[in-house]
Amino acid sequence: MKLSFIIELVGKYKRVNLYSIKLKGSSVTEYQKFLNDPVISKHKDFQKLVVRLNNILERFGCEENFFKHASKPTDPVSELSYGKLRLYCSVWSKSILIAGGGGVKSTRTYQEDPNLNRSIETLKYISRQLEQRIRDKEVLIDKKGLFSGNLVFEEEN
Amino acid sequence: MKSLEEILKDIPDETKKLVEKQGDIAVYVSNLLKRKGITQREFANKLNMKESRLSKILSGQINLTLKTIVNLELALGEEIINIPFVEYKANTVGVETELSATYFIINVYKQKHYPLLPFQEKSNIKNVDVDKTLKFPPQKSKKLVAA
Repeated sequence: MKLSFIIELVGKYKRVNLYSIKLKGSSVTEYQKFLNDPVISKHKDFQKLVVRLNNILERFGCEENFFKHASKPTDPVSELSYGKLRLYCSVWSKSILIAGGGGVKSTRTYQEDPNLNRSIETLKYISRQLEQRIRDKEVLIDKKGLFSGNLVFEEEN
Repeated sequence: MKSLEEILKDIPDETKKLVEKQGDIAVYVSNLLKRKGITQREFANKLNMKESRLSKILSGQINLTLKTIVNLELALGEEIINIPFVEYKANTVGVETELSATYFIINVYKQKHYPLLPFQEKSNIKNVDVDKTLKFPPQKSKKLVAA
């Protein structure tokens, strides 16, 4: 997988700085797509998941009990869920969260659902690219829990 | 494109409060388990509960019954929910009335009988004979139930 993308700050909340990913050619982030997807936003647990996310951002911080490994424990992707609804995230610290896409899990494994599989694989790829930039000191995490440095990733990299 | 904040505006307060309380309990219990060095598996065994269900509780996704909360409290040896104690007594004419030791009940009375009085958020009044203090009107002898 090779992708061009930007990691964008979506909002600074009381407990968490929320980032998301904007893929090349898209005008909105994956997180915005999730919030505004007509199927997802009509799901019975959508409002609860939104409140939970808001509670994490404003009240709890990224408490580990709210996040589960979305795939293998070694993969840098977690899921925030409520019932069958999933929002895939990459948790960098208690105060840094990158929200990706998600959807309704209706199959036994996420791999069986092309949309969920794509969301997880995208977030895995992006997290690894960011990890590399942090190792290379091209991206730093400051004291306020914000990424600084080059957050634009081109396919050639 | 709606933002998180715009979506939140349309969510009923009941849903917000429910999810917040579920989260509060989840974080509180998880932290207690960590502090006591108890694993999820051990705690699930103690509760005679499937680990998957406990995991749902600890991720704040279950609408807990009072029975489950009591079982959690017993297994933890700590209170999760603390409700202010209200003392019930019989008044001088033998009608059961809440002669409350808490400001909350006094405020309930004030709201019922003196709706024009401003609602008092807090008071230091303790163990007050509400009948004498508030001079209830004649219909006061009706049995009143705490809201």
